[in-house]
Amino acid sequence: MSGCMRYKCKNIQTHLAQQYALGHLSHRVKTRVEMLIKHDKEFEKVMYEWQKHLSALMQSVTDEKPPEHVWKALERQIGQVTAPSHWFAIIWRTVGAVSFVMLCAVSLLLWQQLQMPQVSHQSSPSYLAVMSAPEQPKVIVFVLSAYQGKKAGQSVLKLQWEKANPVQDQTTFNQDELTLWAIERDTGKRVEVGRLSSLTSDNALTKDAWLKIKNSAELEVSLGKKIVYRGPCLQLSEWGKAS
Amino acid sequence: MSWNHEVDILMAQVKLKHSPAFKKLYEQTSGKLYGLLIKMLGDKELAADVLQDAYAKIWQNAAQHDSSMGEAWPWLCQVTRNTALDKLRQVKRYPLSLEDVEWVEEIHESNHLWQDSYDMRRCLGKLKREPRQAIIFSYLYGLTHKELSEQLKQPLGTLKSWIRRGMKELEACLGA
Repeated sequence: MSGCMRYKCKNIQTHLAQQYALGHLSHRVKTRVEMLIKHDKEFEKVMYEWQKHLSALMQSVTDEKPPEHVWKALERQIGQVTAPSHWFAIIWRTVGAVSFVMLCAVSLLLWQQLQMPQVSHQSSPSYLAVMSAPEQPKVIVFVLSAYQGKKAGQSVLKLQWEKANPVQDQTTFNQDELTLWAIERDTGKRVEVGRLSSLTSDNALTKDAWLKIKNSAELEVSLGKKIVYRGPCLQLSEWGKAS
Repeated sequence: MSWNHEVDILMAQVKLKHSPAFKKLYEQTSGKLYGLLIKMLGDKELAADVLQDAYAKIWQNAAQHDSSMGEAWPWLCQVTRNTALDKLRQVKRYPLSLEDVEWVEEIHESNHLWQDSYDMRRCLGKLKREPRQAIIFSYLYGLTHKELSEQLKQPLGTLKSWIRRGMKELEACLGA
């Protein structure tokens, strides 16, 4: 049996997954296993199973409060990765003096952006719903993120498929036939928000659609009368100061 | 909403690079993972450094977690353990005092937080003491075969065989 075929063998996959999860593989073998599971979903599944089984041992671990400086250092690291100002700083440092033509081009781009719907913080949605199929509530299929604009009629709704989700889930339903519903937080009443495809296109949400999402406890997506996805709608604006 | 599901939802947001969700995830999970790292590394300062490295990896590589394959918490544990194991290859390990973890006595069915892990704990309880200890010490203290052999005062071959057999019995029990 060739080396590659050998790793298709269930017993070998299980043995490697167990040893990986326990931490008994050498660095070289560990790296090879990590590469193999990227191309073999069955193997990856076995790996996840053993990670889950063994994580039960964490029950015996006593919580310890980490020192404050750990989060502060992480916050700095994350800030460096995400803050747009960091990239601008790099550009300004490395490019130096910019020609008049370049300045004109940048100005033009900025002007164009100002004409587009304004989203207060692209990286910080105000509301977020993690959508799953009713029969598999723990499997995340896609995420709906609502970003509040600076003015009424400038808010947008974005749909992001779970990257790891099999492609067929994205094509199971014709998105033009899917309807988004909101379950009102206060009354529990189910109200139609609109066609999912048009709501998640680049168009801004209407004020009515925004308010329905804003006041919802849960979002649902239906195909005809059947609910095919649902998920609790979480308000994030307090954390992200997005609104 | 269960604790595990809450962690899953936070991870979904971290994948979108939502930093407040990352903070929340850190608040929810770092205590447990820091506790694990102290066990593995035997030194609080070193454990704090590794915790920082682990969460930096979690932030950067969150998209690698496949929620259709499994929950986020075991993945977080694995990333953290791998980071600690890499560190243990670079530094000299502090002397450890291993506590004998007796799982059978720790089964609390009323503890809903860990209900999912009941099967595993039940199956661990069925193993003989030696392979159970070897498996638990491997996971919680990150001991290599050689270190286990020294700690448990057993030949290396015996140790490896305990673990292999123990894992096979666990597999059979969990699949039953």
